[in-house]
Amino acid sequence: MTRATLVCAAVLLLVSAVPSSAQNAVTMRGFADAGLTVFTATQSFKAVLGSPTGAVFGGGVEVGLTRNVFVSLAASRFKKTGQRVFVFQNQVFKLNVDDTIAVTPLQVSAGYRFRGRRPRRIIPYAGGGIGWYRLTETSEPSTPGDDTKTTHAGFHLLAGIETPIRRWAGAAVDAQWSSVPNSLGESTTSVASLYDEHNLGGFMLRARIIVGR
Amino acid sequence: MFLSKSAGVLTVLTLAVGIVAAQDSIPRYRTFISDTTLPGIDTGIRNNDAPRPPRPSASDLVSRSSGERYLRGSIAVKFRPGTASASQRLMVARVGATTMEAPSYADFQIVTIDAQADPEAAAATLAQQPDVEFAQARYRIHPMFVPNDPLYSQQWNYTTIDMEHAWDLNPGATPSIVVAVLDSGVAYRNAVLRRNVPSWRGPVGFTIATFPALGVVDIPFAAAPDLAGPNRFVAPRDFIWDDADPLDLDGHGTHVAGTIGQLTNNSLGVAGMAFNVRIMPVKVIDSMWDDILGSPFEGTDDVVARGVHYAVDNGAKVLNLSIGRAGPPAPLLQEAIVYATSHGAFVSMAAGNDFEDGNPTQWPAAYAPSIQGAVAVGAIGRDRQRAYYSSTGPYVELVAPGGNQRIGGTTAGILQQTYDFAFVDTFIFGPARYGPPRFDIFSYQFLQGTSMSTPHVSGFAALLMQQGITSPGAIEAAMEQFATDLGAPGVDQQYGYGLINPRASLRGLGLAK
Repeated sequence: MTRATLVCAAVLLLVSAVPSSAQNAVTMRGFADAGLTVFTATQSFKAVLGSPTGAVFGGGVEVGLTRNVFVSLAASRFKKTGQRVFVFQNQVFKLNVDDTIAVTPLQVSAGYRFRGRRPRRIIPYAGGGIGWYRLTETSEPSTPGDDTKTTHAGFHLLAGIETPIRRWAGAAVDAQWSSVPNSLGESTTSVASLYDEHNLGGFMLRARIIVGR
Repeated sequence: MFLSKSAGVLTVLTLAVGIVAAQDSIPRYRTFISDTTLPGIDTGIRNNDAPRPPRPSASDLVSRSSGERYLRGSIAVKFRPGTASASQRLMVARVGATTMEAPSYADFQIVTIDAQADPEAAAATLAQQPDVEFAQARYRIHPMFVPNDPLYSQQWNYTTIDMEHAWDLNPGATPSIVVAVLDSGVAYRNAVLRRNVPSWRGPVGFTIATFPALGVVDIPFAAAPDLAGPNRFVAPRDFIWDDADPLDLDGHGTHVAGTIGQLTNNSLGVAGMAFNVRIMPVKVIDSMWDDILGSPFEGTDDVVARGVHYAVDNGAKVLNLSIGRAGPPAPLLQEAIVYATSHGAFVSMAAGNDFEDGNPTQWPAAYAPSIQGAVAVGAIGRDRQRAYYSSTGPYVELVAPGGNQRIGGTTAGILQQTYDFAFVDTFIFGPARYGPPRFDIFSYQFLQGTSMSTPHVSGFAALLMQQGITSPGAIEAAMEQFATDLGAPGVDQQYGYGLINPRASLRGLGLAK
């Protein structure tokens, strides 16, 4: 959380540094996005799910505090089913026990749009924030205590470009890097422990449809 | 069926050639006069029997040296690859060898020496020759079986290792997994053996008695009702009688096979660990009745080694050895077990029942730590403590329920179906009550020993193999990683890595938990 707090503070500093002359009325937009994520715990996700990557879908709201500065609240979801495994001498044995992993981040971000003095079709933006990452792991069949439902705090940085496609709509593509330290690998029956991978974060590329002004 | 005359003649010739070929490949020392008998008789659970005396040793034909029994008149030797025959003959001549034979399913030779010579000394002499990889006396292997004391009724062993939840994950494996039971045979089929039973001398308590000849008798055999089923048994082989009829003349192997794969959910009797597997009965140890009836071979290191090779060569993926011995090391067995694991078969071996008899090192169990994919199994009782008899040492890798009837009484043993011993051990109370045996009458018996704990691990291995862990080394690792630690924290000499935990191993690792 210390690092997350620092990122937050930096973003707030960025916001407060905006000249008052640049500030306009508060605006609100909604968005939906879809993307591809690559988890930092590459080996662990690959062992259980067959791949460290997967699709992510989400949405949220964004509030424009000034012409350039915005804050957003976003939720997304990754869900994929693989199999529980046993690893011996780097060989992964699938165990025919379905294992479903779901990661649901709830992220608060703040950012800055680099609009420039003249109107442009492509508007770069960058930001960061903190998040709460809900991890669930369920297998079938299971008994009470087998499944995992935990929430971990983390932080993220993002950068992207946005373009208006209608008066009330826009599109954006961005990349996000997140870190959720100490969120994996505590259990001795986890493959993350075996691979010494403890971070639920990762890198994500996503496309976003924005509605609103 | 309609056949042309020539086709019929051809068929008859083909069959005749086939029969001759079969007889050539497997010499027969006995003949069964019928394959059709009445089904086995089930006399129910024997939980109120009076305490039974220890079962007598199987043979009085061996000498005693270094505390272990071995055969007179021969030794086993393996020459280094490429050693010329002439050189081999020269070397064995130094120990007075008369003949040398290469048995089937073996990469070693059996060398005949003078009956009065000491096989251990001869083997030691031969072992010093530069072209000899190893030479050893033919030590007798015996079942890891602690005789029955009275009383009991339930299979507490499965709840102790949480098998109900394990079966949720893997309900008894499938027939694609073949588990070889290298033991006293298995009650796997019906038959009637006609045999002349001569007079013999043997132990009754602490004395030796003469048992009268019984003349020509018909001895009935039946398949164990709770074990046998369609296509249940595969590639049976008897290395004691050197034929393809490994019928159990003792009951030990049948009990062991039951723990591995007793039919389950059949509204009859008891359950087994991996109840859908196919069983390969491989007879490698002789019982009292084998000796009385004049079996040509005995259960020695070399016979067991051949059995291991046979089982692996015929498709067994798990080998159960509820057998073993103390005494000098057994390189023959070590090599056989390495052969098994290197060919994809997992080997489960009894750690031994001699804790209170000086706790000597047990073979082949003691080889387990050095061979990935082979484990030595100790026994615990219903109280999850090491059973009083269970041998200890650095080679004990896992424990499983084997029963402790000293603490819990008869029902603290492991319950399985086997023969009703009242109809088998007719010699046990002396000549007055001695008569022909019947191997078609069954009951549910509580037995204890590392013989009984070992098949839990074999059944467990079959489940893991079915679940997807195909490498013997990985199976062992999965068992050890998820074992429930007992005794001193960490690996110790009483419990090894701990009590097997089939459910946890079958479930394996998740991403986070």
